[in-house]
Amino acid sequence: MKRLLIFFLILSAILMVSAMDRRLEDINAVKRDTTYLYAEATMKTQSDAAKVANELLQEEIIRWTAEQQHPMDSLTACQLSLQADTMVMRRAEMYRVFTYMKKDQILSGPQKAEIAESVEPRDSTLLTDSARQILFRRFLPPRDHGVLKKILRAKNFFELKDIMEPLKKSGEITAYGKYATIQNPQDCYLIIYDPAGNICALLDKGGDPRKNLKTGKKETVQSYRGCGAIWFTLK
Amino acid sequence: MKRIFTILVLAAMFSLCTMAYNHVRLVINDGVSNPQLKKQIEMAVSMVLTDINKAQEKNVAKLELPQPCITKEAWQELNRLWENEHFRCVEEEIVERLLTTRTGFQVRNIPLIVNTATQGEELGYQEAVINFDEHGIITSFYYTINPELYSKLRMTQMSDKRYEVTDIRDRMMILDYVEHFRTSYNMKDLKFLRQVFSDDALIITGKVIKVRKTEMAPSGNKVIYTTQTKQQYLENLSRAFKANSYIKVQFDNVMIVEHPTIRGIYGVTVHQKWNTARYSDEGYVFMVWDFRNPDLPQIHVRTWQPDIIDKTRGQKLNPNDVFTLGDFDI
Repeated sequence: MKRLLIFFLILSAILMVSAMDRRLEDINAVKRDTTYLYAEATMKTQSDAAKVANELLQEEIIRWTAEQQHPMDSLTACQLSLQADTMVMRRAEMYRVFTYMKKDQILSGPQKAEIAESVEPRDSTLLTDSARQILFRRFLPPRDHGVLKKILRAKNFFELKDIMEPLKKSGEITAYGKYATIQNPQDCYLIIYDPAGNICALLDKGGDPRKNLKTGKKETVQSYRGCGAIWFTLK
Repeated sequence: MKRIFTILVLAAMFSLCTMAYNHVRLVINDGVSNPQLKKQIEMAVSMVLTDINKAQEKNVAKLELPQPCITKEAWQELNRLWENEHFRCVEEEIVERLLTTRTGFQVRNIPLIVNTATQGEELGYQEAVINFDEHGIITSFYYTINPELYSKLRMTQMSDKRYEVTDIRDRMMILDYVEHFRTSYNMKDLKFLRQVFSDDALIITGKVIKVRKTEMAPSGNKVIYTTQTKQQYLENLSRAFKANSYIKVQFDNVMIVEHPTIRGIYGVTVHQKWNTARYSDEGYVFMVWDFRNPDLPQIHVRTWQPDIIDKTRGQKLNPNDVFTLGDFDI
């Protein structure tokens, strides 16, 4: 029995090293392939590495699209970078996050058809102000009314900054950030915006399915594939 | 059954053993159009890293590296680093871009695991940067600063927008010297430090002392500053180098600002972590770098301030109190 245990321990070590080698091969294959843009970071925590890799990929997208005579603004680069694929591996005590996407995907823009198929059409302008107030009373815990009401006023991504920053400064929001940096999803509200920047949902915190605070319906985060998201937490 | 089991265990252990030191291959995926230069650089790095891995496996005291691939000076610098820290590259294949520098080329993100030279204590993960001349010969091998910072600082503006260093070659040149400067502590390279500090360099060191609680020092702690000449500083450093088997210096939060009126003068602020076997500290290092002669950059001012004023209360140094270019007449 003891011998068998020793043998399996050694075998596990070999298999682990082989798995790491395969992951490294996959990463290097993408790096060699000129049809991809990529970025990577090696940091102490996986979330830090993911955050940095995502930001570096955005910069790489901006640099490459400028070279292709199709300059791109940082918002669009940010939205696109959220669609990138990721591979993670360990390097000693650190985490290496490698994020990549096809150049074709960048030039052709986000998958509009995918949004139309997977998301029920929502138009927040159909709701009158009084209807929104009814939704608030019904769906929101009383202490959150004020803050969430303010956030729901934003119709697009560009308006969000002027709303989120003062809320952060006043302490009503404890933290917010891009979806790629989310650490504890269950504790976070999610503001979902489409590639044009229009805000299409405000998802309550908790696990999937979450309440969409705009409509009261239960939805999954997956149903917004192709969209961008900002997370935030309340005090 | 016993025989079969023994054979299986030996085979498994043999597999693990053959993984102990690995050949390394560099592949350049972008940044060079000359195929001969590409091949030269790939071969040079592959041979040097493989030889380093072999040396680490055998625990040799001195590196013997293939001469045509590396200059004598770079080989000497690597051995200076090797005297204090041994390292190995654990990845068999490295795929990276070739960057163009003022003096040649550069490859970054070489993944290393570092150990102390004497007791083999693991110091952790580190990345290296290798520089080449225009013929593809290795001219230097340093540890990098935090890779996130390097990428951000290289690609975008640095710190204060009013004095941003816009020329990418200037940015790379400054960062390369900052990396060399940082590695020189790990290497205990007094020769380089003697050369890089100007003869009239001003060295200021901050120290936290206990005082009576006042409005100015409500915690009862205060930072006082002492000055040293270059000679005094290097003598103290030499004593520290002799007393410690290794010096591990890390820089993060790098900020670089160009002097508003004097071209070629930069203020560089880094958050430094200093670790030896017996002592560690963290603080802000501010330097005034003079790049007016880019072949011989010099440091005219170096200051160090602790980043924690009161450990029990977690009181940090006010960022406004960190030295800047404006505090000195250049």
